[in-house]
Amino acid sequence: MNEQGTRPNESTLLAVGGAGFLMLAAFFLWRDLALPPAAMLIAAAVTASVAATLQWPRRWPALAPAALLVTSAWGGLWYAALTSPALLPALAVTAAGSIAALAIRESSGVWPASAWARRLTWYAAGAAFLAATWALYFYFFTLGVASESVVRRLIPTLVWLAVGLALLVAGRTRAAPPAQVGIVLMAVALAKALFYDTTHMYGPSRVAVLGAVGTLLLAGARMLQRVPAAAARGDA
Amino acid sequence: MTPHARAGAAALVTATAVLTAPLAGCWGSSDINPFARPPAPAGPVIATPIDADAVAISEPSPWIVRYRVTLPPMCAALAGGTLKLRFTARLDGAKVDAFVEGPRQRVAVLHGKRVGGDTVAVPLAPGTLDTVDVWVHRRLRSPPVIRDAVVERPDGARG
Repeated sequence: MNEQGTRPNESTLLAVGGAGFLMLAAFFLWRDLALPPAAMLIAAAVTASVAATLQWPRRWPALAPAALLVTSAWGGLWYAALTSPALLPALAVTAAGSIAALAIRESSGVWPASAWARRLTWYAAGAAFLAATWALYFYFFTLGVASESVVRRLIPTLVWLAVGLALLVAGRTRAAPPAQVGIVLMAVALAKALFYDTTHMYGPSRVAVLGAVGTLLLAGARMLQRVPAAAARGDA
Repeated sequence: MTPHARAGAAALVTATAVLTAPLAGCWGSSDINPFARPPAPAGPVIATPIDADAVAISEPSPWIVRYRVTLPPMCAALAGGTLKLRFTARLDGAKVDAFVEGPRQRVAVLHGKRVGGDTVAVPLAPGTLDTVDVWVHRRLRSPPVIRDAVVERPDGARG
């Protein structure tokens, strides 16, 4: 093997070694500072959000969105298990970072050649939005201002359904990432309306949530009828 | 700065402000929730502490902790009384079920109530009662540890 051929391997080894020592240093710093476990999620959320917003690393454009997606899923499951308020800032940072990264990329219209970068950025924004809105709703409504009112339960249903419908209409075709995220949000909202709201709400509030869901779906159907031409072209 | 960068920065600021501004009161101290309902002002009450030996703790499943509180004889017949179980840490929205039991009755008085603070208040149904059965669905939280238990009743109620 000649000298030119060995250089990339050596640089890779040095990079892997350097990353390993940095991770070791971070581990001991973490242990010595005795930070709470929720701080780990905040650190991950901030790092992933900054990387996704600055579109770093350029060589692997799907890495930061994938990290955001993992962070939001991890944070959402963690909150579901413990409902600790200490996790709320991390969930909010993840949502803000993923939505900001998405807005910057979509407004510039410049995406990497790999389709996965755009897909993962949309999926991360959708997952982070879902986890953060649910956690914030639980803290500020279920345990806060509306702790004694079951009417609060229609808030997430309608918000998720409205946002999902808007993304489905904006995505125009089911294969487009925004539409896929919209369909998932709609599925969550409709499942909640059908299996939870109908059994955990009573009287006028149950009628109101089911009526509002039906009205939103009809409005969505009407809006989708206005973009059939674009859909038929497969324009995403 | 390009228009795209300005739009991105504006989106970042807006999204951050919208999502993090309400959290100003909940980071650092979980005791502060600016949106929490203030407790209703209560009149004078007579508080009867419950002895620690009167609380039997068990775990019927890995996710549930059960507290069976034997009421002292003087609290057997109460009008408008409340049993308060205070824990060493907040329950952070754990679901709580509670039943009051007497010689011929077992009545559910709390059903899946979310408790965010560190106190579970169980309303005592009218009639002769001897036991209060409280189920805390802790899920993956560490088991709640009782700090103290007390029966409160309005001053002037018959006991």
